[in-house]
Amino acid sequence: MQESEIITLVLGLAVAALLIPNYSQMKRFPGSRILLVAFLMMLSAWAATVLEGFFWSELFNIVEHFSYLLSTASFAAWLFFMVRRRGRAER
Amino acid sequence: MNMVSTLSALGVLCSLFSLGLLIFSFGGVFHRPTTTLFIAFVTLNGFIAVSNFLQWSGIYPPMDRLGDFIGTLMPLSWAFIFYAIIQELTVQDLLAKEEQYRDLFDNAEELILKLSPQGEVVKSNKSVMETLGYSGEELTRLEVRNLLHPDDVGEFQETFLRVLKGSTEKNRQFTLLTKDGCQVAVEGNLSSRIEGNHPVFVRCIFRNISDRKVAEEALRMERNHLETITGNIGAGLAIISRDFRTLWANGILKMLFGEVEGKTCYETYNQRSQICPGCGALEVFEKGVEKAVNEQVGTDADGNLIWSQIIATPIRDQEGQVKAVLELVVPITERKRMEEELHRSEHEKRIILDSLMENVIYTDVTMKIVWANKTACDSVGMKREDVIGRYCYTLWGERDDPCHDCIVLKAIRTGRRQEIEKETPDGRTWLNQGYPITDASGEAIGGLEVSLDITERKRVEEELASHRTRLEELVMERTRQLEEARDELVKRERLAALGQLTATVSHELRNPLGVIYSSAYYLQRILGNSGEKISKHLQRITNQVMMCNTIVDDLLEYTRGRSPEMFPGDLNAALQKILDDLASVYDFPLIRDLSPELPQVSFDAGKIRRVVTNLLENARQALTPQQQGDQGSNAPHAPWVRIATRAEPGTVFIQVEDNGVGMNEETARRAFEPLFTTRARGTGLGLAIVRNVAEEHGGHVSLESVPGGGTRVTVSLPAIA
Repeated sequence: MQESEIITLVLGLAVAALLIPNYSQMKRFPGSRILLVAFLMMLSAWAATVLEGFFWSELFNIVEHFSYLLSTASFAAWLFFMVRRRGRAER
Repeated sequence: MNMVSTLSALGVLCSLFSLGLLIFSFGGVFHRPTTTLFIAFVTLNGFIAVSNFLQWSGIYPPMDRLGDFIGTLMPLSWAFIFYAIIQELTVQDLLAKEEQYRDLFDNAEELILKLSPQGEVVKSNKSVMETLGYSGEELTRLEVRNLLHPDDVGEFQETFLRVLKGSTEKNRQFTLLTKDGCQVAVEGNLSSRIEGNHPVFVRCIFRNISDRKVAEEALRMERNHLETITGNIGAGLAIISRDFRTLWANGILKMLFGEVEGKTCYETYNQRSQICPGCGALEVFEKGVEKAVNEQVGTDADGNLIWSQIIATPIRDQEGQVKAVLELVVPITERKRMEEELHRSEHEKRIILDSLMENVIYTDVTMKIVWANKTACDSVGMKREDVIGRYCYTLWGERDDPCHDCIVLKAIRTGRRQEIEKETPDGRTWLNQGYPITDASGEAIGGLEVSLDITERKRVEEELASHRTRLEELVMERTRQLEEARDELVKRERLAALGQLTATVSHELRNPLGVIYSSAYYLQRILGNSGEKISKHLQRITNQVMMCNTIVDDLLEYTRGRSPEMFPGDLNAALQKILDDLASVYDFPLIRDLSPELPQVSFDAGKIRRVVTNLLENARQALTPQQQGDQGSNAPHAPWVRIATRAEPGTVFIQVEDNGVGMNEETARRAFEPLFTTRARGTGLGLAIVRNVAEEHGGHVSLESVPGGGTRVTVSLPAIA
């Protein structure tokens, strides 16, 4: 376990803490749930990174990278959703 | 390749996909700063995926450290992402609002101009373009004075300068010119935006009031028409709101009460602090009646008392709710004054009529009583209100139908005054007068009966008539006496003059007559035997001389006379002697009918002889025609003269009666007048002397005569008691 991983997790939780009060405003944004999923996957990846240093390192390592993938994919899906929505709006 | 490197590779692909989308839609989906941030984020994310792939695939394990470092930045990246999204939301909100305002700006009906401090058009909305006919490009940088009517340029510049100094000008009216020169009236506000004491631009927000101006002009004309019409109806007209304020009033009300619009009606019209009692408008508002009429008194602007009749009618909206009240204010001051004058006059007339002694009854054509005065009411012992409405014939005639001789009905029928005197069963006399009462067209609408009890008046009139008749008789008698006295006086004057003359003449004649008589006597004695013819003529001379002596004696007796020398004595004896002396003179029988019970009488024997002589002479004259007339008839007439005396208590009568020709009425009436005679040779003094002698003895003489039947003269003398 590295110190940077813990710092990342703490910062991530801090961002989550800041997000909570602003979430009602965020919800007005199209596809905000997908974006929230992407963030939560990223947060779970950071948590898994910290946890693999304590136990089940193999499992949490896979969870970590799987969460990274889901987060990246969710973000890509959100972008795709936004682009397609824009395209429909323009049409 | 292990599972982790595979997941990392997929992550790299996803990142590349995301990066491609962002680059492809750069500035299209998100704003450019946001897009740039997203690109950075995706790049970092992809770099981590690449470093993981290189580490776990064993291609370049040292990338692990770089990946960890970049991974530390990821929470911050997510924070930026969220921040960017919130900013994006904010921008979108602003853009949405801007769009709304722009839509509002462009589609506003108001004419909105944004002017530079130099007076050039910076921006204008669609309404300005459509109204003035300019395009947006034509308006831009156009000096605003080119849009103004030349008459308004000066005023606009002054306003514009004040606005540049920070003033806000509200509800200013200007006239703009369209591109083709038409005028557009606008009204609006001008304000400026000041930054650092310097004006940035001037806002002009105008409303097109051309239609309103036209409507206002039309309204003004309509109002003028309304004012003209309502000003000439001769009454006030006002619209009263629910809070009793005058919304509108016509010229008459303004003339009477000054400026009334906006003020409460009870203050302006009636000088009250509260709603007037009996207020028609209140009745309309509260009860919803369609019409309320009342009368109010107040003072006009000059403080004069003014009476008004107010007719209030509701003004309803489309739902039927009463929104206001239209009041028609009819000035009735003059009418009120006349009513008061009429009331006073009627009161006075009523007092006068009630004071009359006559019954005054005013009825309609059916004889139903409309009014009656106090005397009439008192005559039936009823009050006026009980009398009015009843039929006069039921009250005064006690009948069920009009009286057959009703003078009021007769007056109504004939259209002229009628009068009748009527006696009632109680013996009183009434003077009834009937007058027709007509309306302005001459149609009879009733009648007036004036009745007066004239019983006393009639009695007085009858007494007066009786007195007048008696007075007239007295006057006639007195007049007759005066005329007789006058005639007597004239006669006496005439006789006095004649007597003076005849006395002188008679005295002078008596001597020659005496000589003639003596000479005739002498010749009779000398020549009495010389012949019958001589003797006859001598006798004729003697007779004529004696007759002349008689005439002279009569004249002297009547004109000069002498005072009687009366001595008490036996009148019968005196008469016997006189008749004895005269028996030979008359050739008709003298019948003596002397009463033996005659009382003593004081008389002048000579004058009594004269009386008897004159009466017998008259009798002889009356008998002569009878004797002559009888000569031709078969029935012999036996003339006679009867001398009689008789006595009544205190009086002795001497009557000389004959059966001669008698006298007619006129002759008998004038028989005692001196110088009146029906004979050719008479002196007309015989009976006059008889009357004088009788009166000298304190007695009288009277004459009764029947034409053809004889005459009786009666001399009355007072007896000695």
